Amino acid sequence: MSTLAQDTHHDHDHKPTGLKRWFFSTNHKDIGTLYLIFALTMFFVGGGMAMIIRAELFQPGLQFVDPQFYNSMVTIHALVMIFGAVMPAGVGLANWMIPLMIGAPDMALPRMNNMSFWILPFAFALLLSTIFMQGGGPAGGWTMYPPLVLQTGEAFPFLIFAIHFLGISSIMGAINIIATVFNMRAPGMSLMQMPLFVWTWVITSFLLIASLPVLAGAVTMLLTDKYFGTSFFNAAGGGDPVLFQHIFWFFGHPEVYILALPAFGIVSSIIPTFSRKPLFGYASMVYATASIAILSFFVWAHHMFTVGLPIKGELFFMYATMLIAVPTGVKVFNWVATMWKGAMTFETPMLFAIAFVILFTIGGFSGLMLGITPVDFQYHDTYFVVAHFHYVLLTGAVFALMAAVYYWLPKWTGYMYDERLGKIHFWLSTIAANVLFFPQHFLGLAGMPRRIPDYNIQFADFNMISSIGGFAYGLTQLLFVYIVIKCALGGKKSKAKSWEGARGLEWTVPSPAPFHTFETPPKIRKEMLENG
Amino acid sequence: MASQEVYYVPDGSKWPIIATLAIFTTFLGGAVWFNDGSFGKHILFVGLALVAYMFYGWFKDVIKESLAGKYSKQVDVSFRMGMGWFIVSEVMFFAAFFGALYYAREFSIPWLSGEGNGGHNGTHEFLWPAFQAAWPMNVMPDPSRYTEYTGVIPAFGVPALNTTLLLSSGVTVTLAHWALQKNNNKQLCTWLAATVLLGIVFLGFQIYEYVHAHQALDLTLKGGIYGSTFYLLTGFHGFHVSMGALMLAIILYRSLKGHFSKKDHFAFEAVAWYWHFVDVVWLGLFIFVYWI
Amino acid sequence: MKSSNTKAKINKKNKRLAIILGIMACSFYGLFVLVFAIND
Repeated sequence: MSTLAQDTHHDHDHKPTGLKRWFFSTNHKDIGTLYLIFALTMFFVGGGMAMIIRAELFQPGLQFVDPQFYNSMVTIHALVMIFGAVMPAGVGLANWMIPLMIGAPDMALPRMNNMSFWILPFAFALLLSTIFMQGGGPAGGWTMYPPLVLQTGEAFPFLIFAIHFLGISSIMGAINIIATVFNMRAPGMSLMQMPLFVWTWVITSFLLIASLPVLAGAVTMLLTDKYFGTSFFNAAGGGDPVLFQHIFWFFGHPEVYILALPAFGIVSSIIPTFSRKPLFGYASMVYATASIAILSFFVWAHHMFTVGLPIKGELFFMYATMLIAVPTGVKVFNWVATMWKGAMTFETPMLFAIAFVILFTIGGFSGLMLGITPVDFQYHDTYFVVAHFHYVLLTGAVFALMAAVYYWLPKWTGYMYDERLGKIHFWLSTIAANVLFFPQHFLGLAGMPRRIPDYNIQFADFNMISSIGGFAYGLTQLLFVYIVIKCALGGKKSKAKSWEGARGLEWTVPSPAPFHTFETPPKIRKEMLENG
Repeated sequence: MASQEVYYVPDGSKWPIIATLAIFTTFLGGAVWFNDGSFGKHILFVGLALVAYMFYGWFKDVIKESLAGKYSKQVDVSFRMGMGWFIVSEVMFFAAFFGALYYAREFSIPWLSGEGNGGHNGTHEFLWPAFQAAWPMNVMPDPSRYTEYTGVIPAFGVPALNTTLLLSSGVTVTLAHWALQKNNNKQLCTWLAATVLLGIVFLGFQIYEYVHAHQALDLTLKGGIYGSTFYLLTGFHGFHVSMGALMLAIILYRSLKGHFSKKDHFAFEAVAWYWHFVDVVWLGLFIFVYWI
Repeated sequence: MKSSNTKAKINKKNKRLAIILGIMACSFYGLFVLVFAIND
């Protein structure tokens, strides 16, 4: 049996060459790399759209683009960043790191893994091509509320099918991760010894499997409403546009945690390393993650407080939302307690991780404010919401992803990145992101609506500050690309254990990690584990 | 959990990228077709042909590897988890449509007839004050935009018969499994053939029912929320039955070639799980769409 | 695994950092209070 099974691996670092290596790949590291490069590319595509948005909002009045195009930028920016940048970056990290962290030879279903990646460029070809179509790209917001979205021109079926396609990709990715973690762990690694990054990804996978098919159902109903005369979302035939919002946010709220949970996992790996202390309250971290995931299915209507829900519904969803603060608080407490009395050093990954803890908490608090029904009547659909979710997603999820790249880049490339440039990137990013988004809180509280290309003169100053921060943040990310490329090409060689305080199986293999690792399961000793 | 055997990691394969291209072509064709580009139809069919080719080729490779004994027990477990969670995702897909049905019956129709909010319901008062709640809702709030129908399919006619058929097919597929566990290939093939046959008869009745509803009852997709939920739920279910019957037929073909043994028959079990899932969804349909 | 010497060195450095950050935080707070006091 074992001789048969080895027929693909004649020598240790045998790897296919040329285009075949990438198009036909069944290697978790290559596929992870593809995911990460794709995510970075999409980060700049979506970022370019954000620059257009901020340029238009630099001053009151219409300057550069017409409102329809502006709205399509807002819509596609969101879809690209969520489905093209943050989710693929997370899956890319999962691909690269989970097999290394649990001592598996590869992902459980390698061919399906390849398919989940290659769907992404094709799905985005469908989505991005709509910008050039008659009637322009989808401009009704990424939430695709009917009846507005049904007025989309030729872009409409492309939007729907792109969502279906991305859903297929994510579900396959999630199934793969679950099978890998539950079936491929090296003997001796129990579930409660897995690194928290692995735990958060398992739980994220459950969220993906439970929520994305619901989105597929919702957009299918949009499609039939537009082309086949059904009336799911049309009161004239007994349906209700609000029904779409319910179904959409039943997907949409877990989706928020799909973006955030892997970030929690990353930070839970980085903070102990640079604090030179094991993670505080490992078990409570696992249970908190699971609680957040479960609760995320019972809070969806807090996105629709102003739509006219029965008062009992508003109260239920408000209290359920408040409840999420409890496990999230546990997490933040544990991160801080991990740092407490630790021998901390502040390399770039640690800086990003600490910034994550602080800035994500700000986003969490503004989320609590939004979750309180009576005050949400004032904040709903204002720039306060925009500020809130950008704190959670940009200074939250994206910062954690940046931290992860810096943390594991030596493992991927075999070289240390330029620490000085990394720190410059961190400080510029952090300052720019706060200049960009902090004023938006004030704009929102003062009543500036989102998704409108023009605004009242009273909002001019803060918008200009915000735009300057936006341009600065955008430019700074070019530095990030430079640092990554420079590191890939060479530099100081990294040891197998790139960070002296690091623990976990991924640091027991050489840097760069060879093409095949753990072909036979490693013998696990307690001190090798991240959470022994 | 993990065994000491080496896990089979396949060499590079062309099928994933072909699968992606196939689905992309299908979606592209569909989207162009929806935009009234008649050549979209041709792209769509090319895409579907590619999908069929991909499934054939991909599974051919997998079956070859399976017969060559490359799959350890651990690989088998991965496949099982894959299929299991795929079915869970399908359950959630149907949940969206059942949710729409529940919402329409419990909320949107009563609200449109003026219930809720202390009897002050703007849509009812100002738009359609004459509208009254009913299920099946065959008087539309705005009759000019949706067609009203003369009747619906009663539960205890063809649907009840269909329930019997599908439940029996669940029994026959289990009998086939028992036969397989007794290594009785002939019985296995017989019961599988019976299952496929029951599935096809079910689909035949379903088509008959659709034709009857369209022609005699004037019930179409345009029949308001009842028509919408009825056709989308039964339609997606019917599509799943078709796929399940096709998969069963392939399993029957493979059984005839003697691919399965008492120990090693994951493909059979996966399809059987799928068939049971389709069965359970039908019970939900029978109760909530046809009956109550 | 880790010599306690470097750990002690890092801890000493961090103590200084903590004091600086503490002073910064306190002065921000003071400034805040001051601004509000003047505004009233």
